[in-house]
Amino acid sequence: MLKSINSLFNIIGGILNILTESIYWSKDCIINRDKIYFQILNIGSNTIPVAALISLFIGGVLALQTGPQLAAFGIEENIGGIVGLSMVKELGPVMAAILVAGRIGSAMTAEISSMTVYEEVDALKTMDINPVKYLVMPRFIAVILVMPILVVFMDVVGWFGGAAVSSANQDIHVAYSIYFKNLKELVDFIAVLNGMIKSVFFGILIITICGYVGLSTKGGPREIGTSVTKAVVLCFVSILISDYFITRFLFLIGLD
Amino acid sequence: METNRQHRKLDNNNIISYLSGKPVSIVVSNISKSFGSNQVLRNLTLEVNSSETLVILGKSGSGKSVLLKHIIGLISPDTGSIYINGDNVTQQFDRAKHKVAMVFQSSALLNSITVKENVALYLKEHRIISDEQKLSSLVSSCLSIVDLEGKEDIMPSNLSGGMKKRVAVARALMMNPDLILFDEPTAGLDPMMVGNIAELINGLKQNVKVTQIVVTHNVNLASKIADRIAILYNGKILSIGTFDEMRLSTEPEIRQFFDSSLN
Repeated sequence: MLKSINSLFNIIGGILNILTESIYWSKDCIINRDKIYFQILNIGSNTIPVAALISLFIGGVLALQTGPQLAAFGIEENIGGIVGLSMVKELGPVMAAILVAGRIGSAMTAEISSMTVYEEVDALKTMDINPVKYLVMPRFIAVILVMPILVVFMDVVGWFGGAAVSSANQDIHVAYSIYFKNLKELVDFIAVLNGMIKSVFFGILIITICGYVGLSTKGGPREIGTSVTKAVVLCFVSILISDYFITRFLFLIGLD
Repeated sequence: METNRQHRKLDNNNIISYLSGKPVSIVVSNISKSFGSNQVLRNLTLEVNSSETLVILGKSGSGKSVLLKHIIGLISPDTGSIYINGDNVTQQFDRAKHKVAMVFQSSALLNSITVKENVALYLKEHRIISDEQKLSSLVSSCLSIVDLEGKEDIMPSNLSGGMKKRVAVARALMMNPDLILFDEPTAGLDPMMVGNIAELINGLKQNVKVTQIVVTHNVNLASKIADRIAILYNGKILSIGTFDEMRLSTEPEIRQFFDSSLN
């Protein structure tokens, strides 16, 4: 029991260490803009197609689940606002974070843990190149820049998914114009900002967790796979737990 | 004759004007290191004189690589101290002050970047040379020293083991080091390449006066490059001296080692 608690604190300490180092080395972000630009393209190209697909269906299924219930009470014209708010405040940022953890976080952990196992990280250290600065910081900056854009993109695609289902489904049957009129009334900039802040927080969480797990990998090639699994599970659990607390925090500061 | 050719090659190259190895002496004092219940180094003491090539001979698992990682500051000892030019580097290794390069046994090239980017990594990351043309010229010169002209744009995954090792040597040279540590530089190389590596190490010794520590279990390589040889046995330095002194030693552990290696 004590060993588990000790191990948990070690992990939290290690992640916080990577976070502070990443923030510190962000001072060199202009000099390293090429690496950051590469990471932005990497995150974008790897996530945008899947993000479009899943958010389209998330929006659709939201409409499919809630639309008939609303129609039963004769208030189906509110479907646009319900789908819109659900996407911007919760499903957009959380699903974007899950997607980035699965596609970018796992690849990052695999790359860094393999570099650790094959002494490439040691080689960087002998050249006085800080591994966090070289391997984590560019991704850290890139994810901060990309996550809000990715979330807004997913929100918009999700809205259209909901609109398509609301319009086509005979049990709901809400026209596009009514759907978007209601959505426009209920979804304001603060709600969108709420989701964007969440997404940046989740992005930072993913990169620091994956950076920590990758750099602390010990052993042989077998450990690379173990590290990837560990990083992805840690990311998923941390995203879902921290989602509650950050939502509570945003309520407290009036960004609800 | 081959050695002279290599020396001429180093003389003729503009890399030689770039390298300026400063005299570096190392004292390893009573260091011990354990990994769990496995004690790898036991009160090991060793002195390396400036500008000498010290070869550390030992069997696999005797702690040679662990010793090198202590000297370069990748591992801290449980007890004991390490001094470079009198500075205690045991806990805090000032890499800006003590320029120590290491050629890893696995080469440890960064697989996601090209040979040129690997070799230029130190200079680029520390912004020592910002002129791209000058940097390219220096990288090409460095690669020509290790017989890899024209391989700048190849990815490390497309190189043979021997070529990777030579790129690692080129990358180490670009640090303009005062001390170079070689961890099994000839492991997995053919005899001709072993000769080339030996020539390169001798060339650096004669032209740049850089201090070199070479860890190997290849007695043939040691005979070609060593000023002194240290025998590492059971986590301790068993004996230290010239190659001939070691070869003629009557101590059973050293005798056994040389006999089995030379047969």
